[in-house]
Amino acid sequence: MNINEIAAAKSNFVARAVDEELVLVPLRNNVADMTEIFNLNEVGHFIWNEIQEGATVESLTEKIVSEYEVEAEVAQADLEEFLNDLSNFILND
Amino acid sequence: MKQTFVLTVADYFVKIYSEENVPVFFEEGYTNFLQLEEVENYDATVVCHAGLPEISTYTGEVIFDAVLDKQRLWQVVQTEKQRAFIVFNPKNIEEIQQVAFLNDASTEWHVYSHVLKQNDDSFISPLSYPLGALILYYLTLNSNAFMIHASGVWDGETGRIFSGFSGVGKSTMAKIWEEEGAHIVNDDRLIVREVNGEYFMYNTPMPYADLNKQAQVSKFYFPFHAKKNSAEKLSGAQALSQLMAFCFQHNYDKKYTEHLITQLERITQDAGTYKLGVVPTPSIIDFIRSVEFKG
Repeated sequence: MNINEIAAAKSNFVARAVDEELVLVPLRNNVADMTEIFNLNEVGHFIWNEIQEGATVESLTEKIVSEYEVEAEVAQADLEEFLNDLSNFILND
Repeated sequence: MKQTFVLTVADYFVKIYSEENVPVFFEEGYTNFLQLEEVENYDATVVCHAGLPEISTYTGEVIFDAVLDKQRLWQVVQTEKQRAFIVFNPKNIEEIQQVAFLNDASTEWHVYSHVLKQNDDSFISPLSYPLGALILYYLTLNSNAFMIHASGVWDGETGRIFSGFSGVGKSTMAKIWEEEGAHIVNDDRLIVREVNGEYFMYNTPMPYADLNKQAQVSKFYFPFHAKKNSAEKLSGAQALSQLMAFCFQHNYDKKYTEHLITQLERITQDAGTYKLGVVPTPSIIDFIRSVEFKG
């Protein structure tokens, strides 16, 4: 997973916060792909906002730990899984 | 030969105008959506032209490609000067049926259509499918409205929309309600508009003739086949994304996507939205009413 790639791809999405969650809609150039809409929960929403060029797993983990009551090891493992899912979705887009 | 028609769909007024020497023809489904009497203000104008324009006028970058089941339906092309819609003949995809140009405000169309011949008669059919539906879709982008794949029914008190993929039972639900005395607004495609804080659903011209209908709407359901009737209320992001999945959306331009999300965010705050497990028998009607009564 490459955080810079995810950061660069963010502009290809329309993101709308709804309560604590985030709805992500990919911008498309084909009518056949219109049903892929993603919802991120509160933590996913937080991470999405913090993803920017130059961010690392370590820097994001630190931010999660300072925001939520969670052990660093657990936060990092969950973060890596989340980034992998996000990366797969973006690369397949 | 000046010809003017007024298309009225979903309380929109579209002026259709031609100065060509061939008559303008409308498919059967438009019959009850056309009037000859002009109105003061139009939401959009369609200027009709006979014959296709020079290729150079619609050559450019393809920014949106409508391909469904490997069939190319239409394309949006950004040329140096304007946005062009190239619509292919659904019965012969090698043939361009219409080329249409739309201004930036999405209010003025210039539609160039093949001149069609039947016996000794020549005519043009500027709204032939799918361009007519496309014109309506772009109307929704200029107002608090959206277009959705869905069936809509009105039972005299409550308007309900059933949406989902083909085969989930949208039409079946509509029929069950109709057999119990409810009116079907349409069982395939609807426009939903917000008017003074209330929401209304409207039918649009289909390949068959139908009346021009509308009804208030306050409930959205996403049915799926199940062994017993069940309902799960959706809210927030879940309701919005579920509804969005079945809306018409040309997400090549961020502003269109933003517009649709805004409409859906508003309506999902006001209207009830449910996933609905359905056994397709009349019992689903009492079940739905009891779910709504409980809130």
